[in-house]
Amino acid sequence: MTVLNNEAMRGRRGVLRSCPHALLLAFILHFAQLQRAKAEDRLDFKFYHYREDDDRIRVISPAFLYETEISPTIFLKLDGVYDAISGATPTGAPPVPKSNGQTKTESGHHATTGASGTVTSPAQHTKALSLPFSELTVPTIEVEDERLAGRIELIKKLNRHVLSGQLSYSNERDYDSIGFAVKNSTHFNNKNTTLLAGIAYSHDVIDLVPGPGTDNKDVVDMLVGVTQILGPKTLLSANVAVGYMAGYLDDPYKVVEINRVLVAERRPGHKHKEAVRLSLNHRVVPLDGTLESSYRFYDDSYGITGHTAALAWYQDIGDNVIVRPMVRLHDQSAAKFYAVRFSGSPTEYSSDYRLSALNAISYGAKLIIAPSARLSIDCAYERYALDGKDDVTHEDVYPSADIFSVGARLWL
Amino acid sequence: MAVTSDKLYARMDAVRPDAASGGYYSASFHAMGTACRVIYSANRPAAAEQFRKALLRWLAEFEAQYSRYLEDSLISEINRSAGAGWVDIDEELESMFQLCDWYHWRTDGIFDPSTLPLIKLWDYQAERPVVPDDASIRSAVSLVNWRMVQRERGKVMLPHEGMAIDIGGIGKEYAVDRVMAMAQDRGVRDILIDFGQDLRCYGSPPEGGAWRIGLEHPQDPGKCWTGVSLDDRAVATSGDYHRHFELGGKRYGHILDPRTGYPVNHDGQAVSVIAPTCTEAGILATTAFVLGPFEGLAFLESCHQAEASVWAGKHQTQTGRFSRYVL
Repeated sequence: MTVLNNEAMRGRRGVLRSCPHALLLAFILHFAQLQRAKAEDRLDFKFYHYREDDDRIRVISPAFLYETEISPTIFLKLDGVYDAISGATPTGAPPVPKSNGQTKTESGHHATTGASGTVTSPAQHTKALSLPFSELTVPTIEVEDERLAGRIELIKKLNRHVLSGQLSYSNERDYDSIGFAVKNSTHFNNKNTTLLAGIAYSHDVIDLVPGPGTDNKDVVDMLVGVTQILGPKTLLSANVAVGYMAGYLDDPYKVVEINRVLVAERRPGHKHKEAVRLSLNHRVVPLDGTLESSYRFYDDSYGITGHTAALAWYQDIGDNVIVRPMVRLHDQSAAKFYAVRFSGSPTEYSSDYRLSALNAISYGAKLIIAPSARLSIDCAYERYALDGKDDVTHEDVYPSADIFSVGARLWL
Repeated sequence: MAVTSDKLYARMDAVRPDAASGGYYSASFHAMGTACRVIYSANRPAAAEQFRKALLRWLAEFEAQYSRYLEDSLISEINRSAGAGWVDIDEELESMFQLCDWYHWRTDGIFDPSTLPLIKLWDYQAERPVVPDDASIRSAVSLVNWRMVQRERGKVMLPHEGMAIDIGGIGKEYAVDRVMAMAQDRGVRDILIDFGQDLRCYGSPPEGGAWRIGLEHPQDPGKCWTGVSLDDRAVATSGDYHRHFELGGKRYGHILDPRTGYPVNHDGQAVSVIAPTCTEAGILATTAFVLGPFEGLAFLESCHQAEASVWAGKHQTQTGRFSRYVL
């Protein structure tokens, strides 16, 4: 669910389109924790509310997870999430002068007729190119969608191994995704070292509204990692993930302007990506706290290189309360085929701001309370802000958001 | 996969059921290079969804087949074959060509789908538009004449190299009418179709009564000078107050007179026409704009079932019964 939260911050479509696979990866990334699976049934409930400023995207996501012990060595996990998405999102069309370029509706009129003006004229175009950002507005569209996703997972402990298989399914109005994942972790060195390997595959079917029929996307992700206990208070882990996806990778809701005509965006038909993540957790006994730090390097064939660093501090307050402030910084370069406007005859093109060069910062705090040995509840707030780096993309396309969550965990 | 995606200008953003109005849905999307919106009623969400998908699919295929901007469209194939041979066409294009025949005759040649050589010559899409020389204009005009286009049932030929056709002068309005027909076939009782401010409506809006359409003020774009109340009518506006360029102190609008090869040059600013179909409203509005305020108004008065408003300079005039639509 943590990954769900991170994905949500990437924007509404990022949530919908990335989650099924992200959920699979989430499991892999947190696989080491499974070894701590208790011989007790567990029920988690989370409620997320992602809200971008200026009436942009809002996502409300209730989610649950149920884990039960079938036998002393076999565990079953079920989880599900429902996303309700609504609000405005940039279309990808270039900014237009605030005074025109959009269909205006006078008060009381259902629509307006006027001379052709919604197609950018050369004069408007020149004007738009010369105006400062403050006099331009970013075209947006109102969206509304729902997503339902579920996952079932079987975990088997076998000597030094923990094996797991997982099936997942996600559905939204014009998108279906089915996936599976298998992984294995093995501990050595008197359980001080754990090796992890996993592979996940998903097949997505996209209803090409308004295009003819459907199209597909296939995604394969692989991960290997090691977790090493460096001492009684320190844990180090390193993961390397590679992925390949092929098929329909466009966002069917984004347009671009080529030679002043709006067309659907077109991304490459395949992508490979690599990521390395290092994390170090250290217990600081005199302060009754734990430092969690991580760094992630990301690179893909789109040309995006990203760096993400995160710090979190878990402060114990008594035996039953933990407060966790956190900060996360992200920096990425732009995709090779990203631009605000295109001319000529490009073969690949997108004006999706998520592919632009940008910085992101997240900060927030979480409160965890365990009123009894069988119950813990938590609530969190996170502020998330994106900022462009290229001085070409209009600043208003980058969202800032508040993310609220409440949750409860019950040991049955 | 992406093989088809670059053909699709249209993109659905949402069907947005309005709980307050009960049973009305709205779809907004980009198509044919402009912003489009359809508001319609449906008995149930599933029916609304089916109609939404059907109209967007039809639009995508329509654009893929008939856009001159797409290399593999039927229109591009016809233009590539100019002076070379016949090209088979489908029934939809045959139907559009028949409309072109009628309106070419009805407008005395002002509506002419073969004006593309002139449009390309003037190239309003250029970063810095230029005024072509007289010889080039004369040469382009010699290639413009819908009557030169050779037609047989199910096929067409442009007899001279350099000739080219573009249904852009009819396509958006024709699409409005086709979507209206789709809606009525599916029993949609209330609908407003707005493709780049060319509109057609039927039935009632959520609050009842007739659909209310604002008429944009040509001297204050973005604001309306009045509104009209429509049921089972279409309205379209032609004018060049949005799209023009200035060079050497002279103003050049984007609407070309195929008879001269030059942009329309008079003090007319906008013509709005209310007619039974959007195709008719659009063509009559453009024809009247080309003819100029005086002659254009006289032409519109002669058109059965069409009413219109004409803006010239700072003055607005209208046909005899236009006021019956005014709110």
